Amino acid sequence: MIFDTPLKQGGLFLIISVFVGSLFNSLRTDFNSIPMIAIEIEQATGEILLEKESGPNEIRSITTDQALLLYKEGILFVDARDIEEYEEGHIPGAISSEDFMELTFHIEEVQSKSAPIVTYCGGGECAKSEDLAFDLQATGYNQIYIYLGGWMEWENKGFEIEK
Amino acid sequence: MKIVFQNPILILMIRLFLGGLFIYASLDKITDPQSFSRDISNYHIIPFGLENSMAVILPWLELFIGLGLILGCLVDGAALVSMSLLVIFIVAIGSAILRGYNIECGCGLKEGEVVGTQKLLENTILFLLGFLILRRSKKKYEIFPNTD
Repeated sequence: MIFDTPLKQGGLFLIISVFVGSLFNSLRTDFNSIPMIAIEIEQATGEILLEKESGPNEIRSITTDQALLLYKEGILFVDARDIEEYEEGHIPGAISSEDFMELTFHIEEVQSKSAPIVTYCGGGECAKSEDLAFDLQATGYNQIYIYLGGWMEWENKGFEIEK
Repeated sequence: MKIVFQNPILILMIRLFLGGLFIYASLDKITDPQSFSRDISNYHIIPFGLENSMAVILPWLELFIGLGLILGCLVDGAALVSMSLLVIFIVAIGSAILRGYNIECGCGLKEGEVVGTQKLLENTILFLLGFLILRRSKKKYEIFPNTD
């Protein structure tokens, strides 16, 4: 009996899963297959901002300086943090993503799907801005920037805030 | 006490429960590996973009050990893998809590579940259930390998 120990049996489970998982991922046709190695979100370069070079469905990250630039251009900011945090203070003009449906209705009212959107959350290692960016992308928005520094950097720099 | 935990019927019920849970948890992840990969990536513990490979393989591992536990096929291995996975989950969730992350668990059981001590407790209990299966004395209601 080859598979007579828990370790060997476990190894068999692992091997089968690696095989079936990879095969299923490469063969599936529902657009849900992903590359085996994740591609990091690229940093937006200064000149591509607002020039529609972002191209469809490419999410880029931006620095605080770039965020300020976009803020001054009047680009729509979306706050991905909890509503309580949003109410305590946010980037002026930013809307909360608390209710995703409501958010998409709101964006649809004010701008087209190809117009730029900036998402941000608490900053540091917060993940909500990235999740929100992908959710928005899935809804059809194709010029999305993630402000990685987020609320923490914005507040630290002493930029304008709204309560 | 020991005899209670060795009861073949109890072991079978634990196998069905744990197996069912793993299968249920795997389904959403198999359907949408992209969002599972993002959940993994939010933990910031997997290097080199390997969260995608993990998102492709891990759900199938959960599915197969779930099937193994329920059908009684390679139960020892399935119990060992489930215990190992739960240890990995406990370490990942624990480290996220220690670093103060308020992220989605990515557990696959409930939408929007956030990491927290409750998840740690749940996973610890599931780990102990896996341990009971691994340490069972009688291999009853199992089809392969048939040792009894």
